[in-house]
Amino acid sequence: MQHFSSLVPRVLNPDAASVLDIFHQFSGFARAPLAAQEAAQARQLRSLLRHAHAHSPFWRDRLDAAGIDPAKVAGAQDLARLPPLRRPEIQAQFEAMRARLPGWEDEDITLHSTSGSTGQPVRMEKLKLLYARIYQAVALMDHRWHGRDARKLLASFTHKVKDTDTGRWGQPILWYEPVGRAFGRASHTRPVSELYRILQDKRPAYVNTGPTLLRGMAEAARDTPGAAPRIEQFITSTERVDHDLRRLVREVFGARITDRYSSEECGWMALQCPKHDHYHVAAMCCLVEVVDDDGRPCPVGRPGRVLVTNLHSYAMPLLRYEVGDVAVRGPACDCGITLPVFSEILGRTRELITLPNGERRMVRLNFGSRFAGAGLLDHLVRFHSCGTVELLVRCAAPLTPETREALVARVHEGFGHPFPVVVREVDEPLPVRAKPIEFERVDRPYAPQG
Amino acid sequence: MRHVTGPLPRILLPEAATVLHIYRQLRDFERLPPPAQQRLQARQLAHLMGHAAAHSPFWRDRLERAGIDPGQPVDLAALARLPILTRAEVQAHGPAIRARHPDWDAAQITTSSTSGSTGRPVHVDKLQPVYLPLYRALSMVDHHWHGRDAAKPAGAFRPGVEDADGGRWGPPMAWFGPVGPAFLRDVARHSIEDLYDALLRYRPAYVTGSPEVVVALAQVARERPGTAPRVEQFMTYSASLTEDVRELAREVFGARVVDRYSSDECGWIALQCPRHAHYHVMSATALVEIVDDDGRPCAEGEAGRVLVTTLHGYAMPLIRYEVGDIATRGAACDCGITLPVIARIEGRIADRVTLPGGERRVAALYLGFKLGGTEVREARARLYACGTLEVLVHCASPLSEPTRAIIAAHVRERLGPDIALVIREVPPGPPRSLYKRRELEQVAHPYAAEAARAAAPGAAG
Repeated sequence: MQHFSSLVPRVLNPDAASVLDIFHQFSGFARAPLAAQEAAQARQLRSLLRHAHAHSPFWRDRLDAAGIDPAKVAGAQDLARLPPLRRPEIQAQFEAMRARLPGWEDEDITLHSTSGSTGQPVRMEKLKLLYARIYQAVALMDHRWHGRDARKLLASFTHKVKDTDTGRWGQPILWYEPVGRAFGRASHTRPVSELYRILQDKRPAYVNTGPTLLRGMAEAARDTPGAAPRIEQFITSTERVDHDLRRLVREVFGARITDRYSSEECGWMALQCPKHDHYHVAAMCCLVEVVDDDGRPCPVGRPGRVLVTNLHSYAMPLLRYEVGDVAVRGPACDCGITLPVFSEILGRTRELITLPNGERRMVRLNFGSRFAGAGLLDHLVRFHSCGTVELLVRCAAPLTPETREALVARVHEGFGHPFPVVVREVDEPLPVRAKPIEFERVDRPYAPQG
Repeated sequence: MRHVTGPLPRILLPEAATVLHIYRQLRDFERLPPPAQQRLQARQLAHLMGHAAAHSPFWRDRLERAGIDPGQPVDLAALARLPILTRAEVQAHGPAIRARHPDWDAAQITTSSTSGSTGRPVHVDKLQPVYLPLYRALSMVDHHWHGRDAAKPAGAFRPGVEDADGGRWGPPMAWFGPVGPAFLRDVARHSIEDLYDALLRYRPAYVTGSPEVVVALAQVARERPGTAPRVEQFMTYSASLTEDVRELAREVFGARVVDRYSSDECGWIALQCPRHAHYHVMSATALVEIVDDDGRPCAEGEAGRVLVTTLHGYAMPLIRYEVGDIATRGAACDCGITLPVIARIEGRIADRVTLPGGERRVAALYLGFKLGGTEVREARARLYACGTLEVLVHCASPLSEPTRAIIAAHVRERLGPDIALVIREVPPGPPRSLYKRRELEQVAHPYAAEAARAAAPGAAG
């Protein structure tokens, strides 16, 4: 049936009303005193732990082994006895980790699979309706925090979208506001320069895209004569957004980046602050810890591994899951939102390397379009166990010595150390990845090809 | 599917979320400046009229004749160009008044029928996915305005329902917090003594029923001295409520009477103010006009006919529908709620009488409670075409002179000193029941004709 939508008062369809109710609860939570937030989290955590203990053999064993009584958990601190959950465990223990209530049907559950940038996907089950409602409520929160006007044109440049010019803003936004047009372009099937031309042509107010592509478009804009289109916001996710990129995008497009931190396994984990460039942890959805290599909580300002407990992961509980990212806790924010702060999300833990002098650093290569003018079409960086960096490049024309030298210099700068670099030109297209990665680790020493 | 949900967030049933969202909008609306309320009403009215013109032949024609273009913004003042929609028109043109969108599922349309005290019911279609959540949200507004605690026991005395024991408060309150026990009694199938026994058994904090129920329960309570339970609130509906009934409830049960003005055709029309005895119009869902006999808006303090436009009556638009009641417009309220005020609901137009001096009044007599504690077991009245009022009483023992004097004084206080009054004892009728009993019946012929048929009427004063 067509749902008759009256105007005053608006009679929302039940899905829309449910999402809005959750949004209101989350909005209240986001500004509640820290103690109230922690108390609410603790209640939710007990609910999840009781369920996990009752219905998942894996979690029953793990909680019992850690001596954790779900009914007595008073907060995140009580979870510290639980070992971090690692990706291989989820891969190996899929069945035992599920926590299905008798009576749940397959149709109530949705199966998510990570994009598998490491080559081995992780499968996760979620309660379809609960997950969807919470996901949409947080999406609405992000939309409202950043004051977007859904009547304006929205563009999506990601590998997930199909080319379309006839779309409109989707759920949940269209439930609550007048919405305007939206268009999409698959980002992996066309060069950055073409995407930039589309921006010039269509001039959207908002662009949903990934940071790597955004950097490429910003560089293309910077290097193209004439004024770049004014964009209000680039809405990013999936990869690290650094200060250089924010500055570049502001200079070139006059735009603000509004970044979101999420993962396929955990859903929303943090949203960018409405006022600052740092992030607020989505503490209404997840407990997030930042710990050092010994598992101790990191103080404000010190990078550490991110462990996430998804508070609504009833179908397949995720407790202290090591998502593989490195983040830095920040001090409390002055924007009115009392959610915990990440001053930076530095990237994947696999991008964290230890230099010969013992210093740890995140590798940042940012090739972007820097070498496009020199004929570089594609590249792949491999970091071998012996410390050699192998750089595979596909070029429109053979590399010049100058370009080769510049590439090596860029690798040295990005790794923060003059590791030996081998540059190899290849003819075949390199594999397309859902999420761009800085480099691949190779667990063997470099061996010269044939 | 079995659900698991923790407290953060509290996941409501989808329909509960819809109701809560409407409730929040209603609470915001109730405190807007009146011009802002009127702007929102006009937007919704334009939406309704657009739908009506597109899908109802009756309304297409009527709007066109009135020169109203539903495609344009509607000025509330333009409503006055539309003729008043009478009950007879709704009865005669029901199918043409309906405005069904072709995509709607027939299962989601329900038909309400009025109780038909005139003998010929009116049928009104309602689009449940819109009507029901609005109805429930408005009932939440009433609960919250009057500070009810749903954890306390409640009872309801209504006509035409199934008796129920051992239940609890239902939606919408049950969706949002702990709820207490509740019972239900069909007033059409029980004597008032039975109803009172139910009150004693369950001792509810809140009792829903018509003002007649309140009066009847008080009457039985007085017949059984020292038994009256304490009631916090009587939630009344469906008939005019007088200050006498409020006093009686306070005196007998220590209760506050909180009245709600609704009709089967229109749903909620007005709710009693949280602070005063007057009513606030539910302007977010009902556009209420009070007009004189010439259709002109009544001034503040003036009583007139109530016209209701159900702003969400998509399935069967009722625009300027004469619900058949007389009400008095009130002055703006000091409670913080900016919704229009109805000072009093005087009663049904059908109960309106013209006094010998030409003055018109609504004859809400409430003889029953006035006569509590006397030998009178039941009382009703007939007003004849000649202006004579005949009061028929059934008594446990012969009617005494003091009681006769009470009746005469009460009637003259209500209807003026010049009313011709006849008081007559009659044999007992069926068991005392409250269902569709009209206290005052208007008779088309003069009393002389009746008197000729009746044997030896007693006369007073």
